[in-house]
Amino acid sequence: MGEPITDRAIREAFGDTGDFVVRNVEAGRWRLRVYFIDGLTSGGDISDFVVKPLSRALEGAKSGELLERALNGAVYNAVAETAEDLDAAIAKLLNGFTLVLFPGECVALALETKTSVDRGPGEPEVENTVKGARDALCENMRINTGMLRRHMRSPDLRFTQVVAGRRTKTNVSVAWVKGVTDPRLVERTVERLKGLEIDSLATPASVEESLTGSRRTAFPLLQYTERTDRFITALLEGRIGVLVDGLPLGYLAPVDLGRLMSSPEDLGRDYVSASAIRVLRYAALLASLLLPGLYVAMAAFHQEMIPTKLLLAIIESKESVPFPTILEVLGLLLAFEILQEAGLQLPQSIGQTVSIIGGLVVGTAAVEAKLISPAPLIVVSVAGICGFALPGRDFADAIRIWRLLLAVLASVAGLFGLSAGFLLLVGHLAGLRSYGKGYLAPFSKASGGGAVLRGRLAQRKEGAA
Amino acid sequence: MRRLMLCALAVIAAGLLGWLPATQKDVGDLLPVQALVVAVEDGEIVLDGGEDLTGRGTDWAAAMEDLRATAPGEAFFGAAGHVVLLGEAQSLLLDVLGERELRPAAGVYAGDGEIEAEGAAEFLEAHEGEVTLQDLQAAALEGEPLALPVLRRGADGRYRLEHG
Repeated sequence: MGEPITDRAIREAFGDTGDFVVRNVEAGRWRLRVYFIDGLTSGGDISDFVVKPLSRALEGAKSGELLERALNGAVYNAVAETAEDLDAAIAKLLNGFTLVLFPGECVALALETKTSVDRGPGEPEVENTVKGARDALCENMRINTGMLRRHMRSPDLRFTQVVAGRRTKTNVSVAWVKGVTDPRLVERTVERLKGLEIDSLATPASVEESLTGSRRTAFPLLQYTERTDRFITALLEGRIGVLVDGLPLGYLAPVDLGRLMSSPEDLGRDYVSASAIRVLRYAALLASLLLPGLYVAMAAFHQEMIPTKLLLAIIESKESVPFPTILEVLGLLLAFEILQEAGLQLPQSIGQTVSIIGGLVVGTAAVEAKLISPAPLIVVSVAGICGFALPGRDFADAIRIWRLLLAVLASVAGLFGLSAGFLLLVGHLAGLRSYGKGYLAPFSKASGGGAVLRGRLAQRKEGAA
Repeated sequence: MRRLMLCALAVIAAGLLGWLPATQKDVGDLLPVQALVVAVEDGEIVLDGGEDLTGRGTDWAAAMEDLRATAPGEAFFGAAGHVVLLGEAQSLLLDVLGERELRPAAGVYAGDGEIEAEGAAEFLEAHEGEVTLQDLQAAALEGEPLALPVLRRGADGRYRLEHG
């Protein structure tokens, strides 16, 4: 049992914060105290479903009787609970409840009066869809669980609620499907969330690091999605989902390279088209990762590998260009990253202008001014565009880092450096584990393959990507 | 991650220390030889690669070395598509076959007349011969001599290719 609930204790807990409201209500001969937080609660609901029934319908000889009657329906509110101690009372207030304190009682009545002012579900902004569901997750966790329920109307869909973050007291829901999800996975996730010793769980990075541990890797060990259909599909594959109040996305675990390379759109078309597009996506992955390094290696070390006519064209285009190929490619890779970052930081309309000016105007002007030759510009642009074909942004960001690293290794040691770097990358990926599952597991013979091509849905095994 | 960094640093160190078989030469510094015309003048081998790329020497290696040394940049033979042996230079066929910088797919021709590397390269791009270095190497191993196509330049300055 924690600290008892008193008027003074509640007032001291919130201090003189401007959004904390206390008011007195007369119920018969009793004076009750009502507490709520402005902004989290609906003023209309408090007037109609708390204050009005308290002052009009509630009578009793003793304060305890009032509480009993209020709990049993005299105060007509869908959710009426009691808070047993001060911590519970504060938690209720912070979750949009109105707290009523009865004189002489050691428990308080908590009535749900959450405000309906919310952004609400909209269309997916990152994961575009042609044929898929268009309801995207939003910042309100309860709306999200409701949307998921609409996609899976089964009592087997479970949400285990946890509060995490010492200061933010963030509500987190672990979503799973009874009979499908490994209970150890659920237990592990819930235990990890309960054991978190962090102040805040308000940002995506804090959630990801907290759930997976802070690994020294650029590759994501949790998958995120804003699409409800993808979330439910993943749950039905035996994965767990994590919804964090305040974040407009859901996390999925475990994750591996095969899942990161699959798009929800793969399940929106026939298996032949989906498989062909997946092959294309893997080709884009390799091109995005290796193309700049390969060009640097061939142009600075192994010119014999370039077809003669292409080589002559490259040599001709490099006449009067003052910079060596290595500097050209590394400089362009950095410029491309800066351009991308600038586009993200600016408002959408200005961001597009920056992209056009940076990409087209500056690029063309630099080639015409003989500051750079066209071939490296084309190579870096193709690699960048191929990176955009990858479905997961976190994964694509990791590839961007490794692309630069591989280009540096290729510029120092040619194809040897590129090959060594690629082997290091494969070794690094093979060593990564997400919730105990190997990152490259889908590509092992033991997993039965099928990571690249999408099988027919009727023949898919449970848990297949 | 630490191991990864160490491996990457080891690769970079090996590259910087020059322990790797490939050496860095930027594509922009290359002076590509498209056609190599080999002649023998006054007992010396004369190589003409076009665009100020000429070399002289008493033997093949010395001539190649001279061509590289006097080149205003990095002479690059990897793009050479044609080797023309003028007159007595046909006796240097074995040296040409042994030259590792030339591509096996480079065509080999016997030359007749005042043949210049640049003009020959332009003509042979449009009228390629059928005998390449790798054909000649295979023929040499099998002991079956191959007749070289003949590149002639007439008095009017025009080139003509006669297949052997």
